[in-house]
Amino acid sequence: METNELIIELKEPNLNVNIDIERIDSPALQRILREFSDPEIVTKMYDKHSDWGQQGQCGCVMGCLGG
Amino acid sequence: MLNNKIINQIKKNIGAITPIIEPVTLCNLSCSYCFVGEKKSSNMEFSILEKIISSVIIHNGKDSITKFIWHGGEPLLAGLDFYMKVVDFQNNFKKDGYRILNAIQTNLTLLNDEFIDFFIKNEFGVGTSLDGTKELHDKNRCNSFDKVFKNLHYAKSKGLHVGVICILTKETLPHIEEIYSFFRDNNIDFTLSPVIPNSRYSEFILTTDEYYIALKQLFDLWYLDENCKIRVNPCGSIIQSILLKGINLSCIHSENCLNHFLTFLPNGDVFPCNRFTDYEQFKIGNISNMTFTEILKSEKRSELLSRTIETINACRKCEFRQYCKGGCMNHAYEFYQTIYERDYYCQSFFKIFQYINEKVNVSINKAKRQI
Repeated sequence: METNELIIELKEPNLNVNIDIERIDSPALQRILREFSDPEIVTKMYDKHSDWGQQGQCGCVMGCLGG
Repeated sequence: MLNNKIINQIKKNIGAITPIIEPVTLCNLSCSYCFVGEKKSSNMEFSILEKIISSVIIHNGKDSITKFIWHGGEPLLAGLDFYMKVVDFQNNFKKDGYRILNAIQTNLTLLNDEFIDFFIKNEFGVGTSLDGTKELHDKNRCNSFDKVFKNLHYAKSKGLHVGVICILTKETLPHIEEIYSFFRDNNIDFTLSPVIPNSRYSEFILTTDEYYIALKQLFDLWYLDENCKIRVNPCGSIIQSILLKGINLSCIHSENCLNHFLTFLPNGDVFPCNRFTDYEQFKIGNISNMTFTEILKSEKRSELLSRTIETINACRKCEFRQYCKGGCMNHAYEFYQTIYERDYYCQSFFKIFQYINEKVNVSINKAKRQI
């Protein structure tokens, strides 16, 4: 599978969309979609202090409440 | 590829309890819109600390990662020795195969080389508060900008990742573009958060429309910016939630934060989160005289856990309920004096979810492959 292929679901709950990330008009969305193509995404989501980690209302990513 | 298997794994992983521990409630700053009430100087006793650490780690088990969040007050006031003791306690469990992470939310003013080296060595995540430019930050954060900004850059230069929260108030509302440019140009990831709607500082509180307009402006600046390399939340986290079919890892959109978080004060008192520590009626118990299981099964926690999107009238028919999940119970309580109400910022969330959802759909549709 190519790394820029992604199946996502948007408004229509069962709609699988095959998209070309290079054609996405938003650099920010492109970056996010590329990260989703990473096979280590689950690790990033939970195991590390990554931008995809559990978030709270603070800067430390992991879930506290800041202020 | 994002698929159901991965999503199920994420769902399984977010079941662990994340303790938010305040080793000290004292702070060396006195920011205008701080929500922490009474501030005492005494550190948490090691016997309490050890009990919290061991109880939570054992409860979460080896399948989950236990994350400890060190908060305050200013948590660096507890001193480096305190955190060395934390790591010592935790290492006893690591040896047995438990997985543990730490993060600390600090104003950075007391950060020094010893702390930085310790945080890097022990893989602590660090978060701080910075309200944008010097002029904006210094207005309400005790003229601390120079120290915070210098220490932030120094810590980053040594390899420590520091995330930032930027509090949006009535005062800073007209400066969204300035705030965005400041963080982008300094390559600092940030989360824009509205000030908590606490009557103690009502002059700072945004209307729901003001917060929505600010978020929309921020999103528009970030979404099509070719020169932006930073992560900007909640814009990014809302997209993440859309892509993850409603799994939003932000505490305020986790349906009921008590499923994931508990806050411990220096004397062992347990609260849902540190936004509630001024309200005795939200005290869940005390870890000194209760077991962790008793705290988890306590009447007060069960009562607070009953707040779900099914018990909030405004949420039942909302098209974005799966993304928002009722928002923050503290935001609801501060404004409506009951937790069984929607988040004060509900209308802001509704409009921004709608706006971002549409924008993302348009972008995706333009990039669809012909099959």
